Amino acid sequence: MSDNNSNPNSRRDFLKIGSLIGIGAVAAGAAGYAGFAAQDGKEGHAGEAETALSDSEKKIKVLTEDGQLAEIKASELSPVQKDEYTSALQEQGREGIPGKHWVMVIDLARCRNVRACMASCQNAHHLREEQHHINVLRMQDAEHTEPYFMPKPCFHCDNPPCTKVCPVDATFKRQDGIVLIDNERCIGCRFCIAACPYSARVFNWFEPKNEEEDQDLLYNVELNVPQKKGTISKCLFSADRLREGKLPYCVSACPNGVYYFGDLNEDAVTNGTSGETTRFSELIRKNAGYTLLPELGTKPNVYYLPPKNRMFPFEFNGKTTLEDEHHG
Amino acid sequence: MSESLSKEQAKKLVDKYAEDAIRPMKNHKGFLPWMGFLGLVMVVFGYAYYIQLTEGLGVTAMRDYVSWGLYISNFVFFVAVSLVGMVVSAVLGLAGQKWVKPITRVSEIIALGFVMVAGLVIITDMGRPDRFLNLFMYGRLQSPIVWDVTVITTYVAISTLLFILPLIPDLAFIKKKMKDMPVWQYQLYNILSLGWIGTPEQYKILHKSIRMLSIIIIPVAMAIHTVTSWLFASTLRIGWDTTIFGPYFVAGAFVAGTAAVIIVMYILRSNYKLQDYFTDYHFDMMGKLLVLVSLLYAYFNINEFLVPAYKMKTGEAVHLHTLFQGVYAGLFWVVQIIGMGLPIFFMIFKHWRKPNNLTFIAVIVLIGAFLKRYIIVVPTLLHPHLPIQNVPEEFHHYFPTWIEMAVTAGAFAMSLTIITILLKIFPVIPMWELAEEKGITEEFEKYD
Amino acid sequence: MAILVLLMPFTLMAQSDWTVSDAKQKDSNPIAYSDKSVKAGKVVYLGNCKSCHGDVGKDNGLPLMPKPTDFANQAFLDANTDGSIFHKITDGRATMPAYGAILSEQQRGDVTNYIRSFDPNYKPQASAQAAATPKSNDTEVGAPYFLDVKVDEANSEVTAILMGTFNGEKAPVVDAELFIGIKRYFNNLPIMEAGDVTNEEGVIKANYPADLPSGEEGKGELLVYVVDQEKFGELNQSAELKLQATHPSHFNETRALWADRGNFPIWLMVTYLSIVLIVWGVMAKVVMNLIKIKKIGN
Repeated sequence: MSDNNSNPNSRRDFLKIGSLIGIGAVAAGAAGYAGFAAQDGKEGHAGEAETALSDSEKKIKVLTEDGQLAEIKASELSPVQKDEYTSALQEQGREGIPGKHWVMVIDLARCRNVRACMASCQNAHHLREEQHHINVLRMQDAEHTEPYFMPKPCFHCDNPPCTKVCPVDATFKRQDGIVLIDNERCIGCRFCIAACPYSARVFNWFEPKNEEEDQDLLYNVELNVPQKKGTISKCLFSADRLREGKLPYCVSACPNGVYYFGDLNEDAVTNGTSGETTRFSELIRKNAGYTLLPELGTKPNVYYLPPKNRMFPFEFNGKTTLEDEHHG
Repeated sequence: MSESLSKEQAKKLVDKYAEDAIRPMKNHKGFLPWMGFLGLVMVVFGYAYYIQLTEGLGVTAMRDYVSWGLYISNFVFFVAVSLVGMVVSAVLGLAGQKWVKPITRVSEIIALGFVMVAGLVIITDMGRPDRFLNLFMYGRLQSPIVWDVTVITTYVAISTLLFILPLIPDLAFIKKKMKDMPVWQYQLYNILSLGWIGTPEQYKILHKSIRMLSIIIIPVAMAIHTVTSWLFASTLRIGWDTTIFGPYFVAGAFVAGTAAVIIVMYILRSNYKLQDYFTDYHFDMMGKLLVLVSLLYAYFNINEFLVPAYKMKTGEAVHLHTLFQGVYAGLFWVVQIIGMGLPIFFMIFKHWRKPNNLTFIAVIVLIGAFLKRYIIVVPTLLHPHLPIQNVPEEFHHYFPTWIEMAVTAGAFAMSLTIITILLKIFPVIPMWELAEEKGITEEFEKYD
Repeated sequence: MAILVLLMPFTLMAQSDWTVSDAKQKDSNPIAYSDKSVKAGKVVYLGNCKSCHGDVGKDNGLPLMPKPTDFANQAFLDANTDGSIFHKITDGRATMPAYGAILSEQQRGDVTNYIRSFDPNYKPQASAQAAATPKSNDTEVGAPYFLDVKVDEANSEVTAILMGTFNGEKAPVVDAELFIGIKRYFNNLPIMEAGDVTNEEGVIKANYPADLPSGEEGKGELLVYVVDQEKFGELNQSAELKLQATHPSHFNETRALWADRGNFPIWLMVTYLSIVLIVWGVMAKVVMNLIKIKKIGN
């Protein structure tokens, strides 16, 4: 579907490191991405078959001298090599995908709180049960209006309050608009949590969920896995998937066609459920799309379509109204 | 004080200064038990912090919503108290308030003790203290934290200079006067007194330097607390997103710092018989100062709460509701009424500015100031713009765990240790300044 | 009802079979069966139903519980009257939304007719013949097929022509479905009207949005292919389109408060440095003074 070769320069840099290691080339099916830590096959998305690897033989995909992908056992990497690969991944991750400006559209009329998005996201990013990169909230705008479900990822703002306050560049905005986390850099001051008005960020208060299994994995800044104790995590627009030309985890997991995702510079968004592509500007204009709390001036890159002509009536815990909720 | 003293009187006075200044530095029966107690608290701190390091910040009650808690309010409090060094030694000094002379060194010591620990307190809040150096390796100029690090480092440096400079003549004096001290102590005095011989030229340079520091410390001290307030005011949070946070915090710091000085003055006075220096008049004046700064603080409080309460914007309404009549109402009104309103009222009467009474009030004001920081930090975080949902019940509340309390106690113990040690090593009475005021500098320098 | 066994229990209420009341069963589709209605129904289907039910006959619906029915399934078509289908669309159940509030009666009737068009045994209640009669050209024009694309930049119009062979000569293929779209990062943006088929000349025309941003040079790739690959084989064409140039937002080169450490605002650095220099300069001066004091002492 795509051959989005990353910036030639970054690729060349990566090859240098590849040649340091000099692993024999192994033909790999998926071309087009320059280094990616293979995750254990537990992700189990609908319609996506991934080879399951047992923890003991976890493999890492690396790019070799001649631009081929190779798989090596994580345990065979020396610490020095591991560092080199990690920093190459980090460099590529910090750079982003040139020419892109990712945007998401969430159709509130279609959401019925299935939470497939939340599940697939937590799976992909190895999150604990209470950690949400995307959270489906129950909202009610005024007393007499109907409640509705509102999935809330990170909005990857164009005037991000979180990256403003980070003292060490551990959270930063890349050229394609994605606000990423570098948990190898993060000092855990949590200023970004305080700064984010959308409560989009979570913290690893304890050892992360898959701490032991993930030990050998290369740190992929575009996936923020392995998670690390004492650092921040948040929605990354599945930067690792975008690099492969795939839609984000949550977007493709949704069974109800809630999510559209695409490139603002192409003015096109693709529905994760039906695969249909429409013009972003048209979709937003025709459906009176809006962004959340625009008065804060954060300029979000996630748009909502109002919950009008709802496909599914609101129902939560057997109730059709919102009562006894903790007020936010 | 204008009439000149006779030679004998002058010598007697210097004698007295020497004796009174050296007395607190001599052994005191309470010293070891006190240090033992502080040491014990720090051991508990060490244990609690070790648990926090190994298990993660999750051993605190902080979670994804209330992600700043007691530690940050500690930090704000410590920074606040440290501001007093500037108020007393610089502002009042430059304003020509002569009565403040004996208090300058105490307040500088308190400032040092608290600002140094403020730097440590903030590390206890970090998820990755092992990466502290990232702040210097990858420091990002746009972040208020980097400004805070810069300005606190600067304040520590200026405070240290402003502490050491006025010590020079006194240390040279004590070096001669105090006989039975260990070698290291003599060496320390020898180095710090910089070969002081008390020539008029040395005095001139010293005065000029102190004046320069007194001027430059004022904006820096304002900056440490203003920048600290920006850690909150630079966010979009309801309750923090306000423009008066800088002066509001600075005014609050004056209150906390003044109260702290009164308490330490009282302890020194009653333990070391220093009532000739920390006189009733001093307490009276400090009481008046506390009224003044408390009124200023009350003024900012009224602005901070009345204006949003008048409008009751959606988010603000929820926040104010919790403060005025919700979960935090008890604490809020205690802080506002007992910690601020009543003290102002009582201190208007001279009777309540007597040492014992004033110290009692100062203790209450200081506790109020500590709780006030807590109320500024925590409730706001419980009311984000979007509802808190799909998280465990504990995410909706915050109350510090024993680990946080132990770490807090440890921080106070550290501060008090620094203050105690500084008081032990250095003379608390600025002898040469008092001598100068009496016009007996010559006798002071020629003394043997 | 065999197929409906697939609709596994979703809640206790929802039993394996989904039947509507007898009265509703006996209802007829309010919209009469016609080619026009089937065509309109297809458009509605693509926009509203396909996301779950998939392409009819390809069994590529979503793996939900219960599984969305593929409407080419004869058992389903046999078991449900027009009225039954119409009411199921209208009322919904469990995962199936109630489209009564979303689609008009006309649209729901059209979709019912579209679904019914996959039933070879169907005898339209009102207007007969149309559906059953085989389309005349289909049997006559055969392979090899040729797909040709023309771009009219002046009118932003694309013309796709599908030709087949008839008696050894080229002849237009009528009623064939073509996809015409512009390549985008994740998927192609269709520009033809949904469900559009070739006319008597084997032609589909579509207007493309010339204002569509597409790369810094404004070049887009037009893709045309025949939808029915089983019959026509893999037949596709592409062409370059002149579209709007984009001006990517260079987030990594912007000096701003939110930017990375290298991209600090100049005014901030100037302010910061001046304050630091002044304050530390005063301190340096004081330290020099101390040295002076020491010198005098010696």
